[in-house]
Amino acid sequence: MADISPSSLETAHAGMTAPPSVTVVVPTRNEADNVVPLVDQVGAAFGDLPIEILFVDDSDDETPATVRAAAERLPGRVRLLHRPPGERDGGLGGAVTAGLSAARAPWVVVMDGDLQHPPRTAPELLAAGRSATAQAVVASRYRARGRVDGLDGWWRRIVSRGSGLLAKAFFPRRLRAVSDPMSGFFAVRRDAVRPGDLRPDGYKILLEVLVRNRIDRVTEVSYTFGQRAAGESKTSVREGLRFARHLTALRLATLLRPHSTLGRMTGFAMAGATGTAVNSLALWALGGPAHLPYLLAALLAVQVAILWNFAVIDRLVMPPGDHRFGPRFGRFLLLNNTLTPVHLGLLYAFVRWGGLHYLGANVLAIVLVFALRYLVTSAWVYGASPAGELNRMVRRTAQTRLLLAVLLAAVACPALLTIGWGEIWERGHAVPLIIPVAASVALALGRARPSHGEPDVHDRQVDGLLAFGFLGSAAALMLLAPTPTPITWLVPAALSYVSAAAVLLLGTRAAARMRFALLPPLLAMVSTDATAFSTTLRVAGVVATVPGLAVAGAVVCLLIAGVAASRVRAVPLAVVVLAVVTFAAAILTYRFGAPPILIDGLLAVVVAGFAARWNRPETLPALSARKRYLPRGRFAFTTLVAVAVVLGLLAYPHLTWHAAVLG
Amino acid sequence: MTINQALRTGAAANELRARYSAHVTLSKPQRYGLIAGLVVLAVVSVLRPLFVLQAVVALVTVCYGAAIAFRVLLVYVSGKGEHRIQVSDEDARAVPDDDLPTYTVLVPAYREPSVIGALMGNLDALAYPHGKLDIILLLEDDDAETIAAAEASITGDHVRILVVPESLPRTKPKACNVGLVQARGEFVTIYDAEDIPDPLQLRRAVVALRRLGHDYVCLQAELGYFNTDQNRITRWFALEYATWFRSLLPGLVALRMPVPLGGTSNHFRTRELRDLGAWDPYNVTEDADLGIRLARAGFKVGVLASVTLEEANSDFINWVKQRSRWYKGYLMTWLVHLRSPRNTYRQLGWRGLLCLNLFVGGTPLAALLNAVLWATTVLWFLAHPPIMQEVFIPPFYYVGLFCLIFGNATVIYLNVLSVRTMDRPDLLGTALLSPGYWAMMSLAGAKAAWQLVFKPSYWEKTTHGLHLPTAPQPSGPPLPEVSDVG
Repeated sequence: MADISPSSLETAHAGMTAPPSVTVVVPTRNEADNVVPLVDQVGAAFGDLPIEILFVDDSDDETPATVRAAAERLPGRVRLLHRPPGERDGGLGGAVTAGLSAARAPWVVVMDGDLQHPPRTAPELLAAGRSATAQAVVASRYRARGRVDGLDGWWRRIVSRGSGLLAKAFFPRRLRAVSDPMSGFFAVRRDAVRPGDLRPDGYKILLEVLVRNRIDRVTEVSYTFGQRAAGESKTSVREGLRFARHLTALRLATLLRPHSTLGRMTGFAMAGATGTAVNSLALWALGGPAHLPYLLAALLAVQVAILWNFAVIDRLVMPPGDHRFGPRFGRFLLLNNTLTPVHLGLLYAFVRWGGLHYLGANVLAIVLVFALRYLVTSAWVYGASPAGELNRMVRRTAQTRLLLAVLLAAVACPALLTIGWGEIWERGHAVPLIIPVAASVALALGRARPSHGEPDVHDRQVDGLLAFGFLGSAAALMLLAPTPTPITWLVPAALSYVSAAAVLLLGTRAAARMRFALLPPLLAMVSTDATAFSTTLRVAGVVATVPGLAVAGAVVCLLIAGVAASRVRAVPLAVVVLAVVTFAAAILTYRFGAPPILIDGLLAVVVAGFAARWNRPETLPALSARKRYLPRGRFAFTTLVAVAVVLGLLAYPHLTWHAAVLG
Repeated sequence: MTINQALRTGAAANELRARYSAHVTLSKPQRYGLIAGLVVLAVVSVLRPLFVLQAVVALVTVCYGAAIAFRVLLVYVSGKGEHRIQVSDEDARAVPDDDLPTYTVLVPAYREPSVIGALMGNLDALAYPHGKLDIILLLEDDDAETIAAAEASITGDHVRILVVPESLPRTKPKACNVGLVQARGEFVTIYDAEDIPDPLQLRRAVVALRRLGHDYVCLQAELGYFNTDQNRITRWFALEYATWFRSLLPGLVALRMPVPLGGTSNHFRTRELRDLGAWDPYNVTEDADLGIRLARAGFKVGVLASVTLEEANSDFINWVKQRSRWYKGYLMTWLVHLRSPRNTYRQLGWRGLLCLNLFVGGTPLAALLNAVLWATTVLWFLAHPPIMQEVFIPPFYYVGLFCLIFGNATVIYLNVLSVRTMDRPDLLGTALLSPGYWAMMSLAGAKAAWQLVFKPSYWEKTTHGLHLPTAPQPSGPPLPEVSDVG
């Protein structure tokens, strides 16, 4: 019945060998006689180090058979990648590229198979790369100790040296530290190479690797070019001519997608300039021949220009980054459409309040928006998503989702929003919410990340059931609230909805962690009469009014934040700061006629500042491989949107919108 | 016996077992009955909606009141006289080693490499000669870590590892059944990997079972917690266990009713257990089910005054997972044993049927209904919806009001009594805060009901080791997700 013999428990690990720490890539072509001595010498040079020798063979003779024999003799140490006729793209360079793709070790040494590259130098390359933390190490024939013995004839020596100098002339900065860019003997970190980017064209591959993969940290080791042992040489005048063409192509390629900030900004500006031309052209075409109304035409023309800009920037200026094409485009579109109103707003602000002439204001706005566009595009559209730092990603996701929850609550409770918006500058009905909401946001953000002692036990069903309860309570409160005017009922309804959203979007555990953030807004239920307890201060001839209830609320918020972080002892100091700020703000309002809301705003900033400081997320130790729990968001999101829309529609007919009066 | 006969009896035995297995949640007649009932209910509620609501409210109120009254009765009878089986230390030690029978200890464990070392220590502390002990560690074959940890910490020949071959369902009762086949002992018991049993427990069980005679096939030892003071949840949990094992189960014994067994530390006579078909591998509270089946077979179960300490679940979500599994199992057991009510009545009598309905079915249902009733109460005070005056018709309204005021007070009072029996006056505050614990129970009840419908045989694994200060991350591959909400 049951199997109790321990033999079944032995898991087979025997077939696995240690992964190699170096891959030696050897491109070969019709040089069968060199294989065995090369394998022996390389093996001897590296000693006990686990290596693999990868022959990338373009031969038509018996070389593959010889390599296979060697592979059978040393399984796991010798591999063969034979490229049959017709698949030998890129010649020698193509062979090396194929070898780089197939290499399994973190370091790859590339050397010729003809023993002119002494195998004993290979470990030196590796050692130099490790000690200098370089991305690539070049074995140079022209360093002090290295000598060119093997190149027979002065003509070939000149060709070789001259092509090297030519390459350095083309790429003075990148090849600054490289004296022998034509070397076929080098070591490179596997993760610094993107074989897909390489366009090998027969000639030595090193230049291609350094330039196209933008390898910056290069070091050199000198060696003496050995006597060719067997096989035919591959350096020829024809190769030299191809080289010149190749060099030009490389130089042009580096102009695209520049590495430096300045180069990128230039590319960006140029793309923008062409975009303007495209915009005008499209506007003319849509407005003129197509007879569209000019505003619609302008809108469409802007979209065409954005499309053009994206095509230019994506193909020519920015490196692809970590996002896929679709998300890149979506973000670019969103960003640029958002920036147009920003541009107009800035223009308006400069003219209206800055007193600038509209042309000068426009130039200033263009510069500002350009800077903003550049920064956001490079960080958000083409930035690296922190793939390794899962935790940060999770935290960001959590914050985004929390923000979503709050936004959805605003949709679900439009009454709260309209009451909040109306008369905000005159300290209207929603003014008691300002400070608690600021404190809540600071608290919630500070506690978005789990502490490392938190058990990783989660349950989606519990999430669902709890959210169901919260959503039910929110709906009941929304429906039972007598009239939407006082915010008394609406605040708990919104909080209930936010709780449901947090539970659904972040999980019960995260929601429980942030539970303190729910307390401050409840304070707003106490009284909606903002002027209660107002105190008139007379100090040194200055008369000022202090809203006492707001100060009291701020103190309670501080207390909650302190309790949440177990930092109650720090609260008195914060209260003193709060008092000073209140007093200063009161005098400011009196003296300079600042809007009365200023006091509440400043109090909110102080409270949020302390709450954020006390509840700073703790720094976590090294990340574990386990995935931090985030519930599946799609279902949660759909549910919340549906409920929000229904609740919003229920409250909407009762509302009248009061536009906020700007001071 | 001819081959045909053997086949037939084998098939008959299988069929008999399948009849009382939770392999299917509802038997065919039950399913048709339920569908027919729902159809009738739907039709009537369209025709006379108010009547249906009134009837449902009346039924719920009466059942709820009955369940509370039953609890009070159990506590009352358990307080009159001693119904636990006491075996003194001297009596337990007096049995010479040579007279002791071979005792099999089954320890099922799954993905618990961190507690295996401690387990060996706890089992070594048992005051029972190694030569007479037959400890079987039941491990699952995809759990290499625990197997490795167990192999490294095995202390002697009396402990063996039994790797349960992979087959569905992968549940604790299935592992125990596999272990029972290999058991050599005259008696057999089960401990969980994190249990700390009273060292004299096996000797006490031997003495008690010999003293009580062959009617008694099983003894349930008392369970307690070693981490009572970790947080509020563990304190509530400890109080609840004290009520359960010191009041409610002895009360059931006193009323000669079937006793739903607890998950560990139940001591059986091996032969009778085998004859009974052992545990139902499809039931997620196989122990409670076994308790009812023992009663149906005419055997008696005693409660042994000897404590096994377990780890109280200290984490909210972990607790809800564990509790919902128990509730789901209770509901399953209830449904399984209501499959042929006439048989059940013949075998259990009215007392057993009462226990089955009010205790086994009533516990999870009351937890579930609690939330609904509280929500109704809050709604009433919040908005006074006029419909409620029509739904709660006078006699049942007063029963409901009685439950609300006296029922809640009584249940809190029972918890306060447990503070007394535990002799832990510091837990008084915890006892008074029990409504918070009921909310958790309601959540678990809702989850159990949900799972009963959609995932009846899913065994919700409880994470152990959360009492350890460093809170080790449960290693190994993540557990299969329960299901998406929705």
